[in-house]
Amino acid sequence: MGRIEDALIKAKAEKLTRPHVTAKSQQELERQRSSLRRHGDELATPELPSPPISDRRQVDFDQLSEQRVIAASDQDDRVGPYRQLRTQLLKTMRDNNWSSLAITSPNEGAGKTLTAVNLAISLSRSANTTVVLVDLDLTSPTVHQKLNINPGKGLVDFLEGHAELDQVLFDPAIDRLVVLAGRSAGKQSSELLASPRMHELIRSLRAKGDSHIAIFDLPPLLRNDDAILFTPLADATLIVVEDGVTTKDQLMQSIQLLKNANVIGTILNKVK
Amino acid sequence: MLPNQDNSPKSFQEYWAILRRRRFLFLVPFAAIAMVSSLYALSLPEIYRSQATILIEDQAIPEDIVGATISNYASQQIQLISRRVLTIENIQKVIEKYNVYGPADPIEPVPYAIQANWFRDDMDLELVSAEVVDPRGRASEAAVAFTLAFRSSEPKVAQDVTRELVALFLNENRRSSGSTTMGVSALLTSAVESANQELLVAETELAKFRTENEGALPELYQFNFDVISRTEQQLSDVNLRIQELEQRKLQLSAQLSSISPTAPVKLPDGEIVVGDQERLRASLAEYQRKVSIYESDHPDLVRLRREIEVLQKTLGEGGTAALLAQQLTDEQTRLTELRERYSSEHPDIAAAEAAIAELESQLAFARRKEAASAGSPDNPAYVMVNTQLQSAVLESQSLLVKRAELESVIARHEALIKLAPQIGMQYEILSRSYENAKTKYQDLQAKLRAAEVAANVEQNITGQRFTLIEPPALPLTPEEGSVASMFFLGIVFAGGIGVGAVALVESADNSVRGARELESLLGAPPLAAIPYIKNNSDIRHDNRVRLSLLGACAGCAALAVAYVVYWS
Repeated sequence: MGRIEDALIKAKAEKLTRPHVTAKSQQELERQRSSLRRHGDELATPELPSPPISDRRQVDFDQLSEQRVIAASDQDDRVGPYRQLRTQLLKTMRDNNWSSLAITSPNEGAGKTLTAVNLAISLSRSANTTVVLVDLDLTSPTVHQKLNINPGKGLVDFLEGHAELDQVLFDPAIDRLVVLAGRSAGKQSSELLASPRMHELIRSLRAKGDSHIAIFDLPPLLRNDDAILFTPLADATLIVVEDGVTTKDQLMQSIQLLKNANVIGTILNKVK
Repeated sequence: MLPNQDNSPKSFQEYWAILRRRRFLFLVPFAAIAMVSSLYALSLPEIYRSQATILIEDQAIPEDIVGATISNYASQQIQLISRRVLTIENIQKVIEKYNVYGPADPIEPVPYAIQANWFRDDMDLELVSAEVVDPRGRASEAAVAFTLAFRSSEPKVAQDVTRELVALFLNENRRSSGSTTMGVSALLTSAVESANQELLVAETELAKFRTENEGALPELYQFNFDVISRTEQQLSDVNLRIQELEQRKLQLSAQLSSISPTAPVKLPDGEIVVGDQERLRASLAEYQRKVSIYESDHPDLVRLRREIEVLQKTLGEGGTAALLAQQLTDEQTRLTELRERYSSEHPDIAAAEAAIAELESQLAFARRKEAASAGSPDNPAYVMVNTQLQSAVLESQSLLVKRAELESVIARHEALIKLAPQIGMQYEILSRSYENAKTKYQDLQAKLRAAEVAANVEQNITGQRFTLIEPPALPLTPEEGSVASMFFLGIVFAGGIGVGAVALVESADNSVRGARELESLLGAPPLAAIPYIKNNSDIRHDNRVRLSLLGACAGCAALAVAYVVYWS
C-alpha cells in the first residue's frame, strides 16, 4: 500500500497548492494540512512536487447531488440505506479479514457505479477506514463523471505501463477516499484485468490490512467476461439488482456466472 | 435454472401498487375508449316508442285446463296469433309502406329476413295479467289483455307501425280458424270405430272358447284333479261295500235255504202241526230214501205211496214237482233197463218214452205252478232273512250303478286334464289378442279425446274477441335509458380493457420486483433496498409530465363539453 499512500499524499499536496473554489472552512483546510504533515513525517518527503497537468476541479455537494451522489451529505435522509449497508459490510469484512469488495450487476444501467460511489463515500465516513474506489469498467468508465473528476490518464494506462499509480489516483475532496479512475480502453480489456500489474495492484491493496478497503466497480456481467474474470480475485462480491428492470432470468444467470466468486449479497436498487 | 414464479396470492396493496405503477397503461386505453363510447352514446339517435293495448274478451277457460296454467294458455293463444300475423311477408309490407328502415340500398339491399329480424326486435308484445276467478271458484292470474308497441327514431313511424300491427292482429282474430284439428278428429273417430269392432270380435271368440272348453281350462286344472281324487276315494268305498254285500248275500242265501218258508202251526197245546206241504216233502224224502233199499211192495213203501197220493190230491192237481221228478227218474231208469233188454222198436220202450215225455211236461207245469203258488212264506225267521237278502240284493244293484257312474266321472275329468295344456295355450293366444285389441281401442279413445280438446281450444281462440282499448299515441318524448346505459357500458368496457392491458403487461413482466421477490428467488433478502434517487432534472421531468397530463385532461374535458353543447 506504500505506493498508494505516497500517491495519495502527493495528490493531496497538489490539491492544497491550488486556490479553493468551494465553501470550505478554514478549519477544514487546517485539518487537511495537519494530516498531511503527519503523513509527511512518516515518509520524510517535505518537498511537494509540482502539480500534474490533469484538469481537476473541486467537487461540490450540488454537483454531486446532480449526479445522485448523496452519501457525502449529513442532512440527506436518502443516505439511510447506504449507512445501513456500510455498517453490515464493515462488520462482515472485518470479521473475515476481507479488504476488497467487487460490485457488479446483471444488466446495464442498474446503478452499480452509483451504488459503488455512494457506498465508498459512506464507508470512508466511518473514521477508521480509508477507501480506494477503483473503476474497473475499462470500456466505459463512469466513476470519475459521478465525482466530477476529469482524469487525463486512467487505470488502463497504469495496467499497460504507460502511467504510474500516482498519476491515476485522484482525490475527490472527501476524506479518506481515493479514486482510481478509469479511461475508456478498447477491446483488450479482459486481458488487462489478468495482467501482472493488476495482480500487483491488488496485492498492494490487500497488504495494507484493516484500515483500507478497496471497492471495485465492475462492468455488468452480461456485457462481457470482465466481471467473471475479476470477481474471484476480490474478497467479496455484491450484485446490484434494478427493481422492476432486472429480469429473473438475468439474475439467476448472473448467480450462475459468479459461482467462483464470493457473493455475499445483493442490493436492490432504484426501488420505486 | 428456471426462475421462480411468485404465485402467492397478492394482497390488495400489491394490486394497488401494480395499478399505480402502470397507471398510464391503464389510463390511456381507459380514457380513449371511454371517450369514444361516450361520444357514440351521445350520437345515438333518440328512440321513440308507441304502444297500443288490446283487450281479450269472453275468455272461456276450458274446464280441462287446471287453474295454474291459465296464463300459459293465454300466452299460447297470443303466440299462435302472433305467429300467423308476423310472417316475413306481412312484416315486409309494413316496412315498405312506412319506410321504417330507410330507402333500400340499390346496390346491396338488405335481405327481407334480416329486416324482419330488426322489425321483431323493435317490436314488443306483452301480456297484461289480472286476477280472475276460474270456474272452480279459485282466484288465479289470467291474461286479460296484451300490449303492442313499436320503436323507431321517428315518432310518426312508431305510431303508424303500431297502428298497422293492431289492425293486423284484429283482422286475424276475426278470421275463423282452419279445420286441421277437425280433420284429425274425424280420422281418429273412424279408427276408434274399427278398433272397437276388432275388440268385440276378439271378445266373442274368447267367450266362445271358454264355454266350449269349460272344463279343460287351465284354471280348472286343480278342480278337476280334486274331483278325480275325491271320486276315486268314493269309488274305492263303493267297491268295498259291493264286496261286503256279495258276501252278505251268500251268507243270507245259505241261511235261507235252511229255513222253511212256512212256519209250523202251533196248536194251543203246544203241538206243532206240520203242514201238508211239509208232510208231503217229508214223505217224499223218506220214500226216496227207502226206495233204493226196499222192494217196491215193502209195506213202508206202500204206505208212503198212499200218503203221497192223498197229500197230492189234497194239495192240488198233478202232484208236486218233486213227486213228478221222482217219477220221472223212475221211468228213466226203467227205460234204460228196457233199452238194455230190448231194441228200440219194442212197444214197451215207446210207451216208456211217451210216459217220460208226459211226465216232463207235467213236471214243468208243476214246477211253474209251484213257483207261482209258492204261497207267501209266513215263517218270520224266513221272512226276516229273506227281507235282508232282498235288501242286500237291491243295495248291491244300486251300488253297481253308482260304481259305473263314479268311473265315468273319473274318466271324464281325466280326459279334461289331459286336454288342459293344449287348451291352455290356445286360450292364452286368444286372451292376448283380446288384450291387444282392448289396449289399442283405449289408446285411440284417449287420442280422440285429446284431439277433441284441442279442437275445442282452437274454437275458443276464435271464439274470443279482441278489442282495442288504447290506440297507439304519437310519442312526444324519446325512450329513456338507452344513452345512459350505453354510456355506462362504455365505461365498464373501457375499464375492462385498461385492466386487461395492465394484466397482460404485468404477467409478461419477468423482472424482479421488490425485496420479497428477491428473497424468494435467492433465499436471502437484499443487503439493502435503495430507493430511486431523483436529481433536479428528474424533478423537472416529473413536473413536465404532470403538467402535460393536466393539460391533456383539460383539453379532453373542453372537447367533450363543446361536443355536448354542439349536439344538443
